[in-house]
Amino acid sequence: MALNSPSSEHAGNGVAWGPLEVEQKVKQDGRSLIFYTRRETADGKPMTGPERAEA
Amino acid sequence: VSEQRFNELRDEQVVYAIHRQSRTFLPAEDHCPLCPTRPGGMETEIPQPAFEIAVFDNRFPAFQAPHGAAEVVVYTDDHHASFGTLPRERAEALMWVWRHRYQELGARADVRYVLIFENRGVEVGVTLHHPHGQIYGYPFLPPVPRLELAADQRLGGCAPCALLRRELEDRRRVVYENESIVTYIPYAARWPYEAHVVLREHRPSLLDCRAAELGLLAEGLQALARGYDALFARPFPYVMVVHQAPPAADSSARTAPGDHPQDASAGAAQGSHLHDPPAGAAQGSHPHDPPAGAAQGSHPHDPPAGAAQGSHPHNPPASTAQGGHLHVEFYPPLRTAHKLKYPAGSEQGGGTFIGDTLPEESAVALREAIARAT
Repeated sequence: MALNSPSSEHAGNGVAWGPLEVEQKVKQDGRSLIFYTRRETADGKPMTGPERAEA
Repeated sequence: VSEQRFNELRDEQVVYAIHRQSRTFLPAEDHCPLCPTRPGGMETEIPQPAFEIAVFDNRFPAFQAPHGAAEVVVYTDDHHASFGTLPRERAEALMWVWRHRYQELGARADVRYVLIFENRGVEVGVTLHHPHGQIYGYPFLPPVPRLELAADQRLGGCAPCALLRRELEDRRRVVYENESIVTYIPYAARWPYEAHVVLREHRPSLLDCRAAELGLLAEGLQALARGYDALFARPFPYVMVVHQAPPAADSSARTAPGDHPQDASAGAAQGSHLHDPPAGAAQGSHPHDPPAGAAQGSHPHDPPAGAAQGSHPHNPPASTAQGGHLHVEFYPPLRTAHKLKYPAGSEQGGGTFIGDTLPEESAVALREAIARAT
């Protein structure tokens, strides 16, 4: 299955995924904790996601 | 660790997660585990003073690796918000979070189906009021998506596509629409104000949606949630469930722990019991499925032959090998402002829902409520 996977790049403390920045952490008890933050364009507007990738 | 047993009479898996009995139950706001950890305050699940959207492994999981997953999705750090009142940008971001989790969990070998849902209100068993949803990564294909795949076979094509066409032709039960989604109370709704938010185009999953569609899906979901609150001028309890395709085209070939009775490695805790169904039962060859030839072409709502799975004009090439059509179903238990519809004798014992209102009548009221709330 070809997934619509936006290309990843490092941005800030997390990884860019579409219009989001994804910051993965591990809690003290070993459980995962992920923060999702909207990325903004240069003029401060929320970034829109990419169009779907070709199969 | 949860234990999975197969119920022969119901043809379904039952999961026992007895550690959940002690989970946090309706704590006071200053002890909410989903609020951010503020200076001087209680340390919560989220050790930051502010956040947009956070996802973490459930402390009291029904499923956990290597036998599935259970995650909590916290929509906002505002304890008093709700899905319907989130800023539009946040709701749209949530669609992308869902998509990311579907991709991540769906890629795991121990996850056969990804179920994204929200329980809202004590009437449906909520134990934490902070706005949040959950995601279960099932190590097996659950009965409802299994039945949806069987409906595709019975109708000779994508069932949600066929039902959407029928609703758009009839229009009496349509309560909201935008460029990408249509919301309607289904022809044979189980719940008085059950509503389905359906992508107009055939999109098997969130991964197949265009960016604009995700934004319009968020818009449609929020319009419905706000309309529900306006219907009886009170916070409206509901169960919201994202229905979509099993996550990978080769999912039928994958073996999840517990699928096979002879799978000794699965261990006693995860369904390697003699009563487990044969592996093929979960993938469209179910013994209760009507023979493919018997139902095809005889159903009054049969889609045209061209709509058959894999030949749909809007089928993205990536997903033709699997069934599923992204849509979101809401099951609200209220039948009036203060009366609940209980799944009782007929519903639980006979499997037949008895309705107190006609979907067409409910649709009139819900359509007006959505318009008032927009």
